[in-house]
Amino acid sequence: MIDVDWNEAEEIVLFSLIFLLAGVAFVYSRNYPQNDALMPMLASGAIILSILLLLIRGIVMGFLGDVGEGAFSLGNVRGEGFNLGDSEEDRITELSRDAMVPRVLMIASYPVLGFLFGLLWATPVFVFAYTVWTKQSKLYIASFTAIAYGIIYIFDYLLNLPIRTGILFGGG
Amino acid sequence: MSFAQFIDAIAVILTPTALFYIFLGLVIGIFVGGLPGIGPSIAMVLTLPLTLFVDDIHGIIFLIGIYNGGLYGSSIAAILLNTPGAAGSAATTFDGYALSRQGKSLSALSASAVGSAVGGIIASVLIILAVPFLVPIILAFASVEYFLIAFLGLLMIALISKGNLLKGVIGGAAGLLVASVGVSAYGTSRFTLGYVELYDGFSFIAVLIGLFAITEMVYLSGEQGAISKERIKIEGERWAGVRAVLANPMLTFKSSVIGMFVGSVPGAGASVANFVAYGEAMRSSRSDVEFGKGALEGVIAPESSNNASCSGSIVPTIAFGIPGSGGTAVLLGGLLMHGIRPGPDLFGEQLFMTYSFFISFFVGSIFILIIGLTLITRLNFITKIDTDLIIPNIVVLGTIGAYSLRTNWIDIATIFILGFIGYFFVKHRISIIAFVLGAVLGPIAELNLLRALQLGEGSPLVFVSSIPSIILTTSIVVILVYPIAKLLLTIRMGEDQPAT
Repeated sequence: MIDVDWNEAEEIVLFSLIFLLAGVAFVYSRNYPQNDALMPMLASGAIILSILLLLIRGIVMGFLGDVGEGAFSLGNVRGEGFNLGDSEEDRITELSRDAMVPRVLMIASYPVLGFLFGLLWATPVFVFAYTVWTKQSKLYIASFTAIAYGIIYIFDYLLNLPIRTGILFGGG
Repeated sequence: MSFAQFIDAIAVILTPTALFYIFLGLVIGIFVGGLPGIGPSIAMVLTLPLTLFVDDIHGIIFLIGIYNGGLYGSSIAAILLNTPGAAGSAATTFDGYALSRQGKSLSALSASAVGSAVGGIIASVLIILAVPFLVPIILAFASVEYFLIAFLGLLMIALISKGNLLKGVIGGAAGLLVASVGVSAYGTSRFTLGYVELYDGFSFIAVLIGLFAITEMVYLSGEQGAISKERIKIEGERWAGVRAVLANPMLTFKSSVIGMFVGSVPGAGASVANFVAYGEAMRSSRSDVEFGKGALEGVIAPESSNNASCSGSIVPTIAFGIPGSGGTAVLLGGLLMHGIRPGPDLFGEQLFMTYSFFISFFVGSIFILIIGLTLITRLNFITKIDTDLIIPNIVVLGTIGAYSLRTNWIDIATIFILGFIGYFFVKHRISIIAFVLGAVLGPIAELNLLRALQLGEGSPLVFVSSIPSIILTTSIVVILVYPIAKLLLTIRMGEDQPAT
C-alpha cells in the first residue's frame, strides 16, 4: 500500500492553485491599460516567480530555503501570533482532524443558513448546535445561545439590518 | 501651535467618557490578550464595527486601549501557560514560565505589569516630546518615499516570516492581488468578473476579520476543550516584581527605547521588539543573572519593550498609513472607517488628535499598573476558558460585524473564504500578516508607485532622488541582497572547510 503524506499533498495542491490563480491574473492583467496592469502584474509575477523558486529549491537545490530560515526566522507569524520555535508546527500536528471536521462544517454552514433563512434565526441555531456538539453544560448552552441571539438582535435593532429573513423568504 | 494642540488633547482625554473608553478597551484587551491564540488583533477587529456607535476620537482610543491591554494581557498566558497570547510576549515565556514552575508566578506577573506600564509610559512620553521634530520629516515625504516605505514594510514582513522569504513574498503578493480587485484609481474594473458588488473591491474590514478572526477560529476548532488542562496556582511574592523593576531602571528604560524604535519600523512591531530587548538584556546583564532559568529581568525586558512598541508602531500608521503589525492594520482600518486620513494632516491641523492617541497610551499604561497589581491573583481564570465556548461567539460577532458595515453579502463571503484560505496559509507557513499587509498596503503602494513614475517620467532614478528615498532604497536593496550574499558565503565557507 502506498504511504501518502497528506500534508505534503495538501501543500502541492495549495501551491498549484495559487500558481494557477496568479497565472490567470497575470494573463488577465495584460488586457488592462498600462497603469492599471502594473500592480496586478507585479504581484502575480512575484507569486509565480516565488513558487517556481520554491519548486527549484525543492527539486534541485534544497538549500535556498534553509538559508532563508536560518538567516531570518525568529518564529512564526500568524496574525499577530508569533510563536516560539517550532510550537506552531507542533500545534498543527496536535490538531484532531476528527474533532475538527464537524466543527468546521458547522462554522461553514452558518453563513449559508444565514443567507437562506436570515442571520437572526441562523445565529441561535448555530451557537446551540455548536455548544451541544461540544458537550457543554445545559446552563452554558442556554446562556451562550441567548447571548449570541442578544448580540444579533441588538445589531438588528440598532442598525435595522436586513437579517430577519433570508433569500428563501424574500430577504437577503 | 503644537503646545496649544497638546493642551487640547489633554482636555479631550481627561474627560470621564474618554477615560471610560480607555479603561474599557484595556479590560477587553487584557482579557482577550490572555487567551492564547486570540490576541489583541482579533479583539480589535471584532470591536471595530462597534466603534461606529461612538465618535472618532473615542472609537480610536478604545481600539488603542485594546491594543495596549492586549499586549500586556498576552504575558499572562506566556507566564502561566508557556504560550503567549500574542507575538509580542513570546520572549516572556523564557523566564516567565520558568518562574511559574518555581512557584513565583505572582512575582513574574507583577514584574510584567510594572514593566509593561513603565514601558508604555516611557515610550508615550518620548514620542510626545519627539512629535515637533517628527513633523518636518513626515512633511518631507512624497509619493516616492510613500511607495518605498510601503514596499519596505512588506519586505520586512516577508523577511521575518518563518518558513522562508519566498513564502513570505507569496503571502504579501497574494494580499496585493486581493487589493487590486475592484475599480482602479483610473476607472478600470479589475477582476470583478462582472459582479457589481465587487466594484468597490473587498472590504478592508472584512479581509481583516476573515484573516484574523475566522482563520484563528477554524484553527482553534481543532483543539478540544479548555486552554489549560490543569489548575494553575498563582503564588509567590507580589512586590518582588515591583522591586525588580525599580532595581533595574536602565534595563527598563533601554528595553522601552528599543521597543519604541523597533516598533516604529514598518513590518517589525512588538513581535520583533520583545526578542531584540530580551537579547540586549542578556548581552548587557550582570554575570549572576541566569536568563532562561527564571530571571525577573527576562520578564521586564520583553514586557517593557512590547508595550513601548505599541506607541512606536502607531507613528508610521498615522504618519504614512503604513501599519507595521496586525494590530496597527486594524487601527488603520478604524482610522479610515472614522474618516480620519493618516498623513501630514495628523501632524498639522489635526495634531491634537495625534497627541490624544499618545496621551491615551500614557493613561492606559497607568491603568495597566493599577489593574495588573490589584487583580493579578484573579487573572488565572482566563487560562481556564473553554475555546469551544469562544469559537461560535467570535464567528457570530465577526459575521455580523462584517455585514453591518455595508450590508453586502459579499463581505460575509469574503470573511469565510479568506478565513479558510488563511487556515491553509497558516498550516503551510505562508505568512498571514504579510497577506494582510499586502491587502492593506496594496492601494497605497500602487497609487504612490504610479505617481512616482509619473513624476520621474518613467525613470527609476526617481527612487534615489532625495535623502530619505536613498536611505529607503538602500535598505530595500540590502534586504534583498542579504540572503544571496549569505548563501554565497555559506557555500564558500563550505568549500574552504577541509574534508574530514
